[in-house]
Amino acid sequence: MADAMDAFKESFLEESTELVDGMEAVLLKLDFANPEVEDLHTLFRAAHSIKGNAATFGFPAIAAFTHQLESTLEPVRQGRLAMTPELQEILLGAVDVLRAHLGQARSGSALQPRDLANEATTLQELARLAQGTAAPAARPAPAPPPPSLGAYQIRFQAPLDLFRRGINLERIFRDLEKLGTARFWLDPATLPPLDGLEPEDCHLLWNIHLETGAPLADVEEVFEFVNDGANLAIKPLDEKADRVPLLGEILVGSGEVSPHQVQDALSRQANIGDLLVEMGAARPEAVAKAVEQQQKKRTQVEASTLRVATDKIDKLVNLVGEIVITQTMLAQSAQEMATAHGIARFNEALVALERLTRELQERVMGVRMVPVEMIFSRFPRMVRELAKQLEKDVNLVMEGQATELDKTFIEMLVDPITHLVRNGLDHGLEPVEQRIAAGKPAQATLSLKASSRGGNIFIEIQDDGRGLDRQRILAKAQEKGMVAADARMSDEEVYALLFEPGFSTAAAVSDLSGRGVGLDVVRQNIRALGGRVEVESRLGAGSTFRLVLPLTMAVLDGLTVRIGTETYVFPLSLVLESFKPRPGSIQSIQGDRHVINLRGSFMPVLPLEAVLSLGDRDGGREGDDLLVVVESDGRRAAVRVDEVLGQQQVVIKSLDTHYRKVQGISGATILGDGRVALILDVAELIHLESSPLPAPV
Amino acid sequence: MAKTILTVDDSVTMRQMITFTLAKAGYDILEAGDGVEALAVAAGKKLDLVITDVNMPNMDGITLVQRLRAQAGFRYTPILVLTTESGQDFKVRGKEAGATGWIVKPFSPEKLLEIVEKVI
Repeated sequence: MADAMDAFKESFLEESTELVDGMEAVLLKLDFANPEVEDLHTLFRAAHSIKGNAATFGFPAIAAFTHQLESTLEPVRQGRLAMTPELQEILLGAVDVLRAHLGQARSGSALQPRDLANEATTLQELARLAQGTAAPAARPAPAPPPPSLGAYQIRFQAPLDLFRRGINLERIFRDLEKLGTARFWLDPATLPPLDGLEPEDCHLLWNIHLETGAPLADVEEVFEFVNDGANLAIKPLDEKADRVPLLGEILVGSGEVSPHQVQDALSRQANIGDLLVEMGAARPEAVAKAVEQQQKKRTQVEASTLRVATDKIDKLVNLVGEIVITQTMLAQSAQEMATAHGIARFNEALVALERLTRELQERVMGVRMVPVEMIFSRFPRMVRELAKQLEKDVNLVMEGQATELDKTFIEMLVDPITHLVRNGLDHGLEPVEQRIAAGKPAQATLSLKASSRGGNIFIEIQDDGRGLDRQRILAKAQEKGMVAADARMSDEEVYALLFEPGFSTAAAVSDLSGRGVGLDVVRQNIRALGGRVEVESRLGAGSTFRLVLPLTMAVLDGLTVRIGTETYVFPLSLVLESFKPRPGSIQSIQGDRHVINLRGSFMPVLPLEAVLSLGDRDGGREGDDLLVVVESDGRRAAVRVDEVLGQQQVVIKSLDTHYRKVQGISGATILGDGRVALILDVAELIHLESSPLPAPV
Repeated sequence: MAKTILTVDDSVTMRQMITFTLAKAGYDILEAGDGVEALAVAAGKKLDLVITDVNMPNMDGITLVQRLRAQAGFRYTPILVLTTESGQDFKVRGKEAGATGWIVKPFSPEKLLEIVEKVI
């Protein structure tokens, strides 16, 4: 059972984290004048649930803390204690304390002194507010009588409602017999006359003689559900001890310690590391190292688990069942292939298998999908606090929290989104006076929106602040020598400069329009996920940063092309068009570098074979060329290929894990005919080829 | 035939633990996340035992006990209520509603089995 309990601990931690997040969400949307009763219940239930689970799954500190939390929330949900901004602050503090607890419980280490101090303050505050609202305290339980061993004389009057409560007397008697030898006499004294008998009432009075070595507490426990104090008398008959009681039993029996304390002491015994150190058998550093190693492993295990709704699994199980059936159909038809009928059936089954396989793939990927809520939920709190700190009045609007994305994305998305939100608040939004002066509402709006369209997930971070200042960005880039003085660039290209490493430092940015601190890292993270960042902005009206991500990292819609004898895959989302260039339209600049003028705008032509040091293409005659136009971060390039083969979904295999990182290549895939094709990293290719964009010739 | 137990709790972890423990002991387990769901799950079924939490959204455990007891099919079905140590009044309220007994949180899987075996 021990392993199972560990698994429940993991589950407990996850579930509690969700409950804590839920509490926070409720707290943040509270309307003090008119709080929703159901919200107050939700708060209470969360504390209550965590408390009960924490105690069951072995987290006494969390149980103790949530006990106080529950005690304060109980009068709140009953309307005896008002939900005030002050209480909200304290409860938000409690949320932090709980998070700290859960985090520490996960790693198995002790709480930081700072968290302990927070906990103590929060407990005090909670207790202070709960004071005076508490229901009359339950009387302390009377100390149990000392244990007695030997034989017992028991007189038991069954409760009248015994049958109506579904209690089985036979069971009780059988449990007694498990303790020793029991004899039963029914006493008819309490039976009513037959005409007054209510058949659903139980009037039975029993005398029982029990010989057992069990302590009194065990005997009482048998009657636990039917003992209301008045209807049961158990008299020890003698004191002969034929069993040595456990030390804990005696101490509990005499009222010296509580069963909880015994449990606590027992659990402390288990700390093998300390014992070994104490014995001098192991060095403290060695034990500390071992504990660290264990924690690391635990964190890894924790991070690699995923809780999945059962209906998702059910659908998978059904689908696999259907695939098995279809496979059987195929096998049978293959045997009958000689007949015309067999071939028709075979084709039918093939079509079905194709459909099922595609659905299975979608569903299996769906299992890894979690709602974007998991990221968004942290922002109300963050925005609130940051706005307070910056003395700005900000209304956070969130949309599309139910949009699902690959769980593996979550971790890598949190930082970039946090970054963009902070940037928006700090630099994008003007101070209140400036807003009013500009004729804007004093309250600024920051929105976080998630949506999915086609094969992509969109996450937008939008503010209605001052917007990006194209001129100043350009000036800055020219000053740094990143752009030629006379460069003509589109807005997208200018905004893309913000994401260049070294474009800005914090100091430089605060006097610019304020974007750019570490934005290169944002772009790197998003690219690592196979996505891109788009920027839209209007001076004075605000900016939108849009993260465009693939649905999952595992599968990609690709355009397959042939270069020489090899097949390559472009991510379809980055391909704009492909065409056959007119002879002579490709111009050579700076020696072996080429550009093409496509409908008035120049873009570099990438000879992939040179960039990637590949073998030759078909002859390389200009007339046979095809160009594929790709775009990344507002920069376009045309890539020379020999043949466009078509569009298809490919399953991405990482090269880093199977081979090594290769510049310009983001991964590999296996084609239908079993051959390997490399997937091109468009952003990196453009970057590899070009330093500053060439000015128009 | 294996006995069927309905476990009602809004905490997934708690339900998982109960289901795991009882299923391992050979019982058939049904699950529900609150009282309303429990009534729907129980409808028309023969249950050998119901184990219900008290604090739940939509319908709490005490109400669930009352509602089950009011149905002919569940008049004599054992029902155990999960209560916390501070829940003395819940024991009384549970009894009045018709609960067979209670399981005091925190409890270990072993304790759970012991109590279940006590009533069915």
